[in-house]
Amino acid sequence: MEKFPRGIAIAGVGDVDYETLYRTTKSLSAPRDPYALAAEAFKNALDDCGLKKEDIDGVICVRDVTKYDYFCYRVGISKPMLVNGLNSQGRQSGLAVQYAAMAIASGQVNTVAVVYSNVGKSNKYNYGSDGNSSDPYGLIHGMTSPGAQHATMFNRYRFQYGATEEHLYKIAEAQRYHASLNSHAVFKTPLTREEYMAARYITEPLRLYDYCMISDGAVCMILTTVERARDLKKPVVRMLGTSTCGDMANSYMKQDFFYKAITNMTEQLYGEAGVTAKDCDVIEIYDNFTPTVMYTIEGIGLADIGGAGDYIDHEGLKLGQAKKPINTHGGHTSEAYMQGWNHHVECVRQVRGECGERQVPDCRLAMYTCTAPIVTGHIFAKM
Amino acid sequence: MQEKDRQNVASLLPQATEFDKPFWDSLQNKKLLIQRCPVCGHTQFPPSPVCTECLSDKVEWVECCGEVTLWSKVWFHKKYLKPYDDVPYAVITAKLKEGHYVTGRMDADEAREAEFDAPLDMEFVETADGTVLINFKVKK
Repeated sequence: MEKFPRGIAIAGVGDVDYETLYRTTKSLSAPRDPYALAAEAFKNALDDCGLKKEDIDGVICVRDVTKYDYFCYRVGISKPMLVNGLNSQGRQSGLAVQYAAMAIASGQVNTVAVVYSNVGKSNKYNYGSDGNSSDPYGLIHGMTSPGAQHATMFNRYRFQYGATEEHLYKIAEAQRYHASLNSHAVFKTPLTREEYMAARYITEPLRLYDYCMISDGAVCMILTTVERARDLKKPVVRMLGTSTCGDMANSYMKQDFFYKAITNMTEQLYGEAGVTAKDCDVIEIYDNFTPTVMYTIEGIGLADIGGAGDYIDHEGLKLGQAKKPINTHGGHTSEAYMQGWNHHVECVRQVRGECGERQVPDCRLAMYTCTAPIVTGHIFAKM
Repeated sequence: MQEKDRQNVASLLPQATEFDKPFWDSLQNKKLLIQRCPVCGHTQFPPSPVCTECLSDKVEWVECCGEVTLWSKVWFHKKYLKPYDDVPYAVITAKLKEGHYVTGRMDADEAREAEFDAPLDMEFVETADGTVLINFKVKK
C-alpha cells in the first residue's frame, strides 16, 4: 500500500433527509430511535458504493449508537474484526474516520463502516446546564455551556483583532444561502442582516444564528483500500492526508483561539497531502458556533492570525463568489447538527461532483477541519 | 440581583475531592488559592494533584497575589441555571498576574463599561445560602 493515508478511500457515504425529520418531529408519538436512523444511513452508504453488509469487517459507532453491540446486532453484523464506540463530542467524527483509515492501513481490517446517529431534537436534548466545557470553578459563578466559552473567546478576539458581529453575520448568511441550494437542509430561508441583528442573544456577543441547531439524523461512511474502491460503484475519493492535534486544558477556552493546535495539525496534514488549504477547492469547517470558522480560517493558513475578518470581507465564503467556498452544505447552523459528519459527506460529494446546484466547479480537493479540544483535519482528493 | 440575594448557589458546587478540598475550603474563607511547586517553582491554576511541569506531588496551595486584569466578559441572556435566573447577567474571565485565568462575577452594567485589560479589584461576596463567590470590580 502507498504511504499512509494515500491508500485509503472513502467508498460510500449515506445520510438521511434532515429537513423532513426536523419538520415532522412535532407529529411523533415517541422520540426517534437512534439505531433506526443509523441503520437507514448504513443501508444508504452500502447502496451508495454497492457493497454488502457481509463485506464490512470493521464498525465504529459514535454518539447515540455508542452501544456498538446493539447497532451491529440490529443490522445483522455478528463477528466484526474491529468494533468499538466513541462518545458524543463532535470532534469524534474526524477521529472515527482517521481511526478507520489507520485500522485499514494496518491490515487488521479491509472495509470499515463508521456510523453516527443523533436524536437530540426528538429527545429534546437541552445542552449547556451542567458546566460542561467551563473550568471546574466556573459553574458556581454562572459560567456554563460551550457557547458561553466561545462567546468569551470571541469577545476577546474582536477586541484584539477588530473583528465584528458583521463577520459572524456573513458566515451565518453564507451558510444559509448554501443550505437554500440543498434539499435536505433544515433551514433554507435566506437570512437577512436585519433578522440576524434582531435575533436574541444566547450568550452575548453570540446570537441565536451563531449557534448550531439541534436536529435528528444519522450518517454512515464506508472506508476501504483504494484498490478495493476501484471496483465499486462511485468514483474513488482518496484520503490525501489526515491529522489531529490535542489542545489540552481544564477548559474549552483557549487564549490563542486554538491557533497553535490548528497549525500543528496542518503542518502534519499538509506534509502528508503535499497540498494545503490554499490548494483546496472547497473547505468544510466544523461550525459549532460561527466564530470557530474564523479561528479555523486562520489556523489552516488562509489568513494570518487575526486576519479572518479581512479574509471574509475580501475573499468571501459563498458559492459563485468566493474562489474557495466554505461550508457549501449549510453547516451546523443551516443544514443539520450532524457534528462534522455532514461536513465529511459534503467533502466526498463535492469531490465526486454530486452536489447539483451547489456543486463547486471542477472540484478536485476538499478539506475537512474541526477546531475543538482535539483539532482534526483531512484532505480528500479525486483520483 | 445582588449576590447576597442569590439563592441555592451551593447546588452548583462540585463534589470536592481529597485533592481539591483545600481550594473550596479557602474560597469559603474568602481566599483564592493557586498552586506552587516547591521543587521547580512552577505555579498553576486550575489546580492539579501534581505539578504539571515536573510531576512532583508536593504542590502547595498559595494565595494569589491579587493583581488581576479583565481578559474577557460575556452576558448570559438564556437561563441555564436556577440560581442565575436574573438574565442578562455577566460572567468575567480575569487574568491573574501569575498568568492564570479565573472565572468570576461582575455586575452586568459595570461589565458594559469595563475595558479589556483594565485592572480589577477582587472581592469575595456571600450569597443568600452562604456560598462565597469571587466578584470583580473595575479598579477606581
